[in-house]
Amino acid sequence: MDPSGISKLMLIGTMGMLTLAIGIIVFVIFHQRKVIRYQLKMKQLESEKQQTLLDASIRFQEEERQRIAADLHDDAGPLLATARLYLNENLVNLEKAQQLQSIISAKQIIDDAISLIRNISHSLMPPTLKNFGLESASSDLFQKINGSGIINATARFHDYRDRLKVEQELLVFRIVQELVNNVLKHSSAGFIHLTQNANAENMYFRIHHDGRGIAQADFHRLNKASQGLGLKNIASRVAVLNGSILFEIDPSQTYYKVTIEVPKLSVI
Amino acid sequence: MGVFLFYITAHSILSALCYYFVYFQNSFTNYNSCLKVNLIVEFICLFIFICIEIQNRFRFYLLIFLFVVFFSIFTFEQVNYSMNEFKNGSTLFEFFALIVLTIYYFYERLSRFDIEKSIVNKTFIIIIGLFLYFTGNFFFMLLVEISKSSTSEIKSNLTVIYCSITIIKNIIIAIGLSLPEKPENPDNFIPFAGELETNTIQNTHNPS
Repeated sequence: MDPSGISKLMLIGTMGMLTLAIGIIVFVIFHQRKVIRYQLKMKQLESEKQQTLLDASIRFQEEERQRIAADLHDDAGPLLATARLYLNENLVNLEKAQQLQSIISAKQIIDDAISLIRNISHSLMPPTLKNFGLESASSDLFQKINGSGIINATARFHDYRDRLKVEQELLVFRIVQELVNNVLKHSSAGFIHLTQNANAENMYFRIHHDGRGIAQADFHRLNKASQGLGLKNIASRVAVLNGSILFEIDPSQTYYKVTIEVPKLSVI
Repeated sequence: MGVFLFYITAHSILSALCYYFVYFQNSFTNYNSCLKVNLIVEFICLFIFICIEIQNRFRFYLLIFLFVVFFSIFTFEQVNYSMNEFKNGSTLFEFFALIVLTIYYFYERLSRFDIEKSIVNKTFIIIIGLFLYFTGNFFFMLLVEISKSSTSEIKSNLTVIYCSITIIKNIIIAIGLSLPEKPENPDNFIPFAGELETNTIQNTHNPS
């Protein structure tokens, strides 16, 4: 090979290799920038989602506090004030019969106040759930709904021996309550049915009803909407449980089903 | 990074020694010996450096395999040629293997890219510098044997190309080394306040 040929070959070869190398590097860098943008977008979306759930949780807590405050102020307050009126200082100056009447009335009012406070307490933590578990609490809830005669409600736990932790059971119970509440309010269903199954890793709760319902896409859409707390609370609780929730319509289009999957070894 | 810093130091000292042997002692035997030691140090350090960055679980087997092949070629050259000659077989293998390994490193980076390992990353910039150096000088190493018999004008042309690429490599590596260590980003996870029920249970258990 003549010397100028070597020089030319070397120049072309080096330029070719360098172009190839720069091409590879540019491709890697641009691809990484693209991935970074995508990951940042995903992170932002995730952050927004968490913020929404956080807002929903805070709003829910505030509403719950306001409700308890209103119950205590509007119901328990007047009851106790009335009882106090019956038991005022003049009671000792009254006749025996009037004294007895006042004491009986005051006792009646205090009993009412106790009952009211018990109801508030039970709405915070159902005693059946605390004492006997999710199966009993759910059966109790569905029996009460069924007893109203408006809707046919049943609950069946196939693997009732499998238990979640108390905290998990309470979260699941709240989700079921919210879902049942939604069905009663919006769906005009004729029946509602809760079933429970379990395998080695997960526990599954499924609610069927034959009224108007929503699909998974509607759940995501409503969950992002600024109004309405119920579905956001459901999503928030499912996230705390590390589980998942699926809203489906039966292929026959006759009934809707909601499936909640809860891992048995959850972090909470 | 320690391996790379060791390589830079050793490479600088050995290069200085090479120039000393050529220009002050005029001893090509010492010069060639020094070049060979430089080659071995470069091979060992750079392969260890890149293999540490690669996540593949077979990387250590790969490293051993490459070492075996490299030292086989190197030993073959030493046995069959005199000390005064510098054969390019082991150098070519080093260049080729490093180019392939670097491309694999890029591929791995693309396939399992983590946002925390951003583009402005010491190792990535250094490997880019090395990649440009090895690809740019591959033809130089390939034709170095043929060019030995060529005119001084061509030799100077080749030297210009080699030196230009080496300068570019050194600038890129200097930029890479001057980059600060990336501080760990604080986790921007928003705490989740959905534990109302848990608190309720605790309150129920502890009425006080």
